[in-house]
Amino acid sequence: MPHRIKWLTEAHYQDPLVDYGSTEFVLQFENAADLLQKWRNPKLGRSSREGTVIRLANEANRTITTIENTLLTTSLDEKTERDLIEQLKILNFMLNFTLPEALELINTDQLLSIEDVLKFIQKHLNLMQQEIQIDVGMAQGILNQLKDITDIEIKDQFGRSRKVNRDEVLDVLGRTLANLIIRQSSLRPVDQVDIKPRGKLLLKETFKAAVLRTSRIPPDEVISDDIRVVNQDRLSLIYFIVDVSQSMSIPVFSGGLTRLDGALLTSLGMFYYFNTVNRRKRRSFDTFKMHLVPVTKLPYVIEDKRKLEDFLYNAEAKGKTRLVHALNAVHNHVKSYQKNNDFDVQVIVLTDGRPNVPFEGRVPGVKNKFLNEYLNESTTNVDTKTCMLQLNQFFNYLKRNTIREWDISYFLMAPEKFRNSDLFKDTQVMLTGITKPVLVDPTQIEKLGATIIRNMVMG
Amino acid sequence: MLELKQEFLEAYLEARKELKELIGKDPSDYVVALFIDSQIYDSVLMQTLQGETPHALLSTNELELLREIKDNKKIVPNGIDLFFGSKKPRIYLPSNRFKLSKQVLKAKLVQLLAMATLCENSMSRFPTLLEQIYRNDSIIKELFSNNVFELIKERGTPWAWQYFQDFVATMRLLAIYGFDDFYVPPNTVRKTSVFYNFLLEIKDINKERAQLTRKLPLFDLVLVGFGHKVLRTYINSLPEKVQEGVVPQLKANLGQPIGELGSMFFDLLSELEENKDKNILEIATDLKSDYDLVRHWNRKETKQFVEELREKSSQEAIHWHSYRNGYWTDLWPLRARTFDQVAAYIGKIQRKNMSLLADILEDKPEVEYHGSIELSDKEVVVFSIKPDTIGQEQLIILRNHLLARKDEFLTPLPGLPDVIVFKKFAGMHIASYIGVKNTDRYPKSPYDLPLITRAIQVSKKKDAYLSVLREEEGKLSETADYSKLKGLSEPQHRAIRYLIRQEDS
Repeated sequence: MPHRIKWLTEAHYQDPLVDYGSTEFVLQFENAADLLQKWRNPKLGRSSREGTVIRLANEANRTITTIENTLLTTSLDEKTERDLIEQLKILNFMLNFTLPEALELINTDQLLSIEDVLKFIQKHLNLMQQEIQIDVGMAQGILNQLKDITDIEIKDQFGRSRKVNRDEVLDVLGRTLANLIIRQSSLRPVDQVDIKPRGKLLLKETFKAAVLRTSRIPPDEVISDDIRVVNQDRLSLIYFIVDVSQSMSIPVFSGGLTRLDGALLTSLGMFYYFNTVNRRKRRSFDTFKMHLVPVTKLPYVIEDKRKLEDFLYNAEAKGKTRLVHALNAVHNHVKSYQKNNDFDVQVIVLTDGRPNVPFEGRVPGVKNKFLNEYLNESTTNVDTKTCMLQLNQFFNYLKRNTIREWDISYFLMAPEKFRNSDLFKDTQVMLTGITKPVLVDPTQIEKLGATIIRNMVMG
Repeated sequence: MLELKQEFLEAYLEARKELKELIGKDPSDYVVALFIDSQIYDSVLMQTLQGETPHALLSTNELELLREIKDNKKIVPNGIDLFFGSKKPRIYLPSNRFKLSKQVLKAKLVQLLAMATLCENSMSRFPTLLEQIYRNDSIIKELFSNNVFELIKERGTPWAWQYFQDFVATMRLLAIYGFDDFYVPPNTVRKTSVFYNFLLEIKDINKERAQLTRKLPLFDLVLVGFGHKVLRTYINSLPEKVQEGVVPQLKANLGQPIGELGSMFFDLLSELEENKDKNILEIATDLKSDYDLVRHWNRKETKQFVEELREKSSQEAIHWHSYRNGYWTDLWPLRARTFDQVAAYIGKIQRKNMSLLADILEDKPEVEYHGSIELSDKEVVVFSIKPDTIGQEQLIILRNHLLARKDEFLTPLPGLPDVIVFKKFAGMHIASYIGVKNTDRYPKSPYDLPLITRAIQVSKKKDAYLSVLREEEGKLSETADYSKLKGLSEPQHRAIRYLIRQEDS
């Protein structure tokens, strides 16, 4: 080969269209909070929607130029040429009419929800059909890109942005938070060494496994894969009691984060944390069964992810704090649906610590006289005091339950300075012998995982 | 593969021989680069069409657009044989060209090598300057790969790729229009970090590149026209039967309006008395720019030639397309538009005696500065920018760079004016705004800023944004000074006033 002809491989010449910028995109907690807020309130993401329209316009513009260039320079078969011409017509229409109108509508907040967008797409599809002869399927495909308008922009710790589809928000958030907590919770003391197989041998189950594997009775041999041991992990029913009362709407954290946002993010983070742990354990059953109980007028129990999503999306801080009612709902739910006593119950309360509606029915257990006397001297609101007494009575009753083990975690959504308040001290006394109240500042996620998991899972 | 290579080699050697017979010379110092992976050829082609040279770094905005079109939409004009007309000419071809017959390959190579010969021998400064520009871009690319890699590795700054890519591409564009000299930081800052050193180095190289670009003679019509003319002569020398087999495969080589028009002028030139004894290469090498090619005829004559060729071309160009039913309704109008664009270009250089790229750039600038708005606490500068290089994401570069006007060069990071940029294409007339709120926090990267970004459709409707404007009118006259703005339309002024009031998105 003459020296002037050179072969170029990827080693000589890297693909110039490689995206160097797409390395490492780590969503920080503050940004996760921002994402949740934008997801819950579509009006917040206007600049992101405008950015999407501009991206689509630039893309359409560049595609038009490339198609024209391709049609003029490249030998194509009839079908490809026809398709490209068709695309060209649609893109030209889009660039001249659809996208300018979309941008104007977005500027005035008239194109917010996916329903708005779908209506807009349909309108322009009809217009296209009237104005130019088009392949409806192709036009629909191209116009469907407009659905991206509802995407939400997220930023990483370095301020670089990326868009997330609305349907994926919960996954992105959950993954981020769960990973943050997992990274911290894995900081266990080193002396806890895992040895496999561990625990008490389940003879019957092991025998059964060997029979199934070898298809012989009795089995020829029992190998290590057949060994079944008593599961050492605690099987837990987890109930998140999330306070959504009026007082939770107050922004107390940096960046305008309200107590409710904090509680939602913390519960979501833990929800996904346990989900991830369930997945990592690779068992045929879930180690943690999760439930969420919003503190509403009539507290109810949410079990599946879809409903949890709805709750997170729609939760508004309103009404009073019926914490004892919510606890009662948990108690009833466990009694009615969770007859298997192998499961422990873990109640996680996320609140601002201001219950204010006493329970009208009978609270199980015995009233704590000492607490009553102590609270009498406190300046705390009367209803709150009554609630605290009821909570103390209820918690004590649950803790003394001999049939199954109940664990209580009490998280207070408040910044560190709340520790000096009377309310905190009262709460501390109210929880004596039950648990310790844990102050959670969601903006300090670095400590959150360690605090929560140590308090809750590892005891 | 080996067999095909052999065929290619034969075609190549024969093409050289043919060329020598046709124009009396063949090229000596050039490269034919064959991409084993045709996908990479497609990428290089698209990036060169966008960035002018195969090594020019593109902004992430452009990259994203091109990648989307290439990988997802699968639209690539890969019929084009990429020719880079520097002093040492570079011909790029993908290996899937080997599927073509030897005759077709030979024809393509005759054209490409003819253009290479012209570049080597031309009296024009075009190839020499393009060579220097190529070298500048290669240096920047090397610097980029080495420094940025180090920066990311040592400092853990994953944003650096994106930032530097955008910086290089943005500055390349701005430097051409002389908007890169707001402030020249002292050389001592180089010692501070790789980051500053790189920025300064790039700024210098880009400046040099911009000066070279502005000096570039207009040469496309000459180059492509010459290639077209030589190829046409070669094809005509083939037996008719062979021609029938070869010509339909040469759409990118023979079916281009610019080639047809350029070639027409070569025909006309060779008929001139002064060129009687010269062969085509001698005529071409004497041309210093496109203006030399077309200057012998007045507008009236030229219009007539062009009109005749257009008519002829409209009848013949149908051969290049398979979708014959849509030719007159869709394909010819497209072709005609490109034809008219080249014709308009010829008209312009004839009327205004234009011979340098700088003339064209100044005639219709793609980047314009419209002055600034003085607010009580800050300044907002207003630009119009047409190319894709600077999208919304790149405004931050523009903004950060403008900050370099500061008296003390502490950091290329935040401090000074916000930016409003207008961009107009098809029905879109966008006014983008990027503003930065005050913050005490030290940013983790140039992107880590409390930004306000808005983008609005500039509306001709008189009542657009009116409610907002009325509400703020009293305040506006007190706090903002719009007197330094220039060259803006009424709707643009309204849009600016609306954007200035945007505190939150």
